[in-house]
Amino acid sequence: MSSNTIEILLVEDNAGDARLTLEAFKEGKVLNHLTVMQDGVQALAYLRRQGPYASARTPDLILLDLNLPRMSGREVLAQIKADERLKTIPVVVLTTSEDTQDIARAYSQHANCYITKPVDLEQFLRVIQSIESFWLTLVRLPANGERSVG
Amino acid sequence: MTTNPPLVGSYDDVLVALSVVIAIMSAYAALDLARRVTFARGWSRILWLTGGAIAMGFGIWSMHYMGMLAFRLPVPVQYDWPTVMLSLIAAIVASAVALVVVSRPKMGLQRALLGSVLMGGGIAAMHYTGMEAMRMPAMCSYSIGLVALSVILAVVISLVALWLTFRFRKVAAAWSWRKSISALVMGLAIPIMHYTGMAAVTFTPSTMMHDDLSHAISVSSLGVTAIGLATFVILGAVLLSNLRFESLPTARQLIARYFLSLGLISVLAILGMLLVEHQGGETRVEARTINIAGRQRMLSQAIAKDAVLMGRSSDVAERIRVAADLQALDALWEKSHAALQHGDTELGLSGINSPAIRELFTAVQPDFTAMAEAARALVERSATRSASTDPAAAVDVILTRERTFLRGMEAIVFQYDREASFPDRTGSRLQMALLLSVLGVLLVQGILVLRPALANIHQGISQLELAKQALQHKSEELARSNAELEQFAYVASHDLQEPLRMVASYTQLLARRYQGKLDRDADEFIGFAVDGATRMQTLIRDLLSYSRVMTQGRSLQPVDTRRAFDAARENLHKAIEESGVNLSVGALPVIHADATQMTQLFQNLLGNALKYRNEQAPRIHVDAKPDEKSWLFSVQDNGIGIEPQYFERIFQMFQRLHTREKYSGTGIGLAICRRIVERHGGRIWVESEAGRGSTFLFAIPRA
Repeated sequence: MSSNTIEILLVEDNAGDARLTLEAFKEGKVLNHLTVMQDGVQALAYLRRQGPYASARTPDLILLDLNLPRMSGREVLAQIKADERLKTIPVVVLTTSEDTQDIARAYSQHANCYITKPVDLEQFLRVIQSIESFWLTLVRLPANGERSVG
Repeated sequence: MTTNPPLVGSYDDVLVALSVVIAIMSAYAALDLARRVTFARGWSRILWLTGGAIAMGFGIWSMHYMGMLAFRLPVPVQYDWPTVMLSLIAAIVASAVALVVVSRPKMGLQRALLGSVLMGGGIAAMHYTGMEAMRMPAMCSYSIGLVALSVILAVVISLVALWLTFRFRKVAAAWSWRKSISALVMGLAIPIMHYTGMAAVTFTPSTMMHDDLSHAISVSSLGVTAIGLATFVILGAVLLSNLRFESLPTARQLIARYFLSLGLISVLAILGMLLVEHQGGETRVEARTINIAGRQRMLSQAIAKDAVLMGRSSDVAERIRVAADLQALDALWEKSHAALQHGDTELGLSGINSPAIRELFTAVQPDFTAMAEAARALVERSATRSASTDPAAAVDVILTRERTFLRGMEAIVFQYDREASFPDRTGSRLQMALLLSVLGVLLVQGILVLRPALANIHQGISQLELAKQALQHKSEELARSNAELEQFAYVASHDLQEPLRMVASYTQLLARRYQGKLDRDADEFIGFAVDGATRMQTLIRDLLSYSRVMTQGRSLQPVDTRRAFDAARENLHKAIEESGVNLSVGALPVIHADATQMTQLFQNLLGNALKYRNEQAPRIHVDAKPDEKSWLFSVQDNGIGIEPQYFERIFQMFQRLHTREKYSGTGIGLAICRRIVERHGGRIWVESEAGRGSTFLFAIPRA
């Protein structure tokens, strides 16, 4: 794994959606590694390197779905942004909901941005490309302690 | 003493009027009975025929007798009851003939003529038999011409009556104007015939009673009342039985019964008043009789006095004076004597005396005759002025006879007095009976009308209550079910999105990755799958937006429809530019609406107008016109138009008139428009001519 590889954590319970996202990122230009967590509790464990996730890598970007089992995406978001070590990681809420209340609540909980998953494949691919070109290309991400330098 | 000038009768107006009323009632009853007999079969037909003939015959006979009793002669009139009964039978037979004739399926001219001859003959027979029943000190002589006229009238009236009855026998309505008018005509015609018959008769008084008096009865006011009562009851029963209350709605039934009871009470009251009136009349006659009988005593004494004076006086002048006085007294005395026995209209005496009185008069007659002769002799002698003739004998006769006469007259006066008190009891009994009947009718009315009416009202109210509750319940249920359906539709289409997205996305991914890499069939299959999935997505999306009209509808606020239109135009600006459409808009008002939905509405309609254009340069005009209750908006285009048979269909969900290749869209647009308009309480429709363009109109109620 090259040190230039961007680590992305995708918190998404729908396997189909996860795979689509994976395929979309594969078509991208930036080298990236996508890890998928299917529920919020696991995702937080992964982020905190608890249990089986002791050797997990801190992601550079978190893509978060709001509709998750056990712990809702909002709860996960709240916890991430409350955690000193995790709150600097940009969280992109990527969900099917276009409800204005959801959007407002996400931003008030300090989500970095909110994207509604388009139903159309082409559009979806373009959205992933946009995420890539914005968050992974244009934007300057904070350096994380665990990043191996060199 | 026989006089030749005919007796002049007079008519009691009240009884005449009553007889006409009876005639009209009989006529109406006849019409009813005709209907009953026509429709009855078998035994009930015979029953109706018999009963009807009796009732109708009784009515006609009663009319005749009321007319007879209304006719007052200066002599006492009595009736031979067997003959009276015979006339009643004649009337019943005539009625039976009439009913049989009119109840036949057909009535040709022959049968009608035959029937009217029989019926008219029967009525004439009844009339003249009735006349024959009269027992009085007078003779009847008939004018042949008038008799013939009355018989002809009877036949003609029968013909008319038969025709009218036959014509209206099938009229089922209990009351109908036609029947009422026919009854009126017939009811007036019968008295005409009767009074013509009466005019045919002349009564010449005679002292010889050459008829058998053994069955003669006098008809007092009691008799009149009894006949009247019986008639009303019988005819009333016929009419009552006919009022088919069951066919009327309950409210009308009760009203009919109520008015019937009122009518009955009025009739009874009128009869009672008639009775009292006649009683009074009789009492007056009795009083007058007693008065005049008493006066006879005074007169006889005055005559005696004058006789003595004449006998004593030698002065001629005085004699002449006294003679004149005596003459006057005697004239009055003799007249009163005759009047008491035979009746006199001037003195107001009926002349109807009981056997006891008659006997007393017979006893006193020799005294009377002797006195009268003597008095007249005295008067005559004074006129001849001969002093030679001796009046002493005459005076003696007068004096001696006068004593016995006085005693006899005394007895008569006391007898009159004794007899006068009798009728009172029966009269008052009848009055009591009438009063009780009235009370009875009121009571029955209370039971048959008031109680059911109140029960009806109560029932009506409680039914109303129940209906209201049921309605409320139903509307609550409906609202609940609606809400559930809305919810269901929303959730269903919402939850369908996700798996649909999977299918659509992965088939598209397949297409992307493997297009051209597999065989041509695979390409085609994938193409169809993708196409299907995409279309399903669109359909679900449309369904979602359709259901959102209600679930995401906002409350109605004042909305500037011009702004909504502008927003829609903005959303479609690309299509507008591309089409180069000439879009014009009139003054659009501020109305109570949901702004978003108004924009949606305009957008759909504008979009359609743009989509369904023809080769011409497209022109669209949007306008609004106020109505008394609403605003009428119109979106008019010059596109391809719509055929009339589709005017309704296009507003239904997913209904399209063209293939997908020609025009895009799922066909939900207008259904959404209709939903939005209906949510605002309005109505949407289209006016169009195929090939010339369409105008979509929707009316939104103001405030």
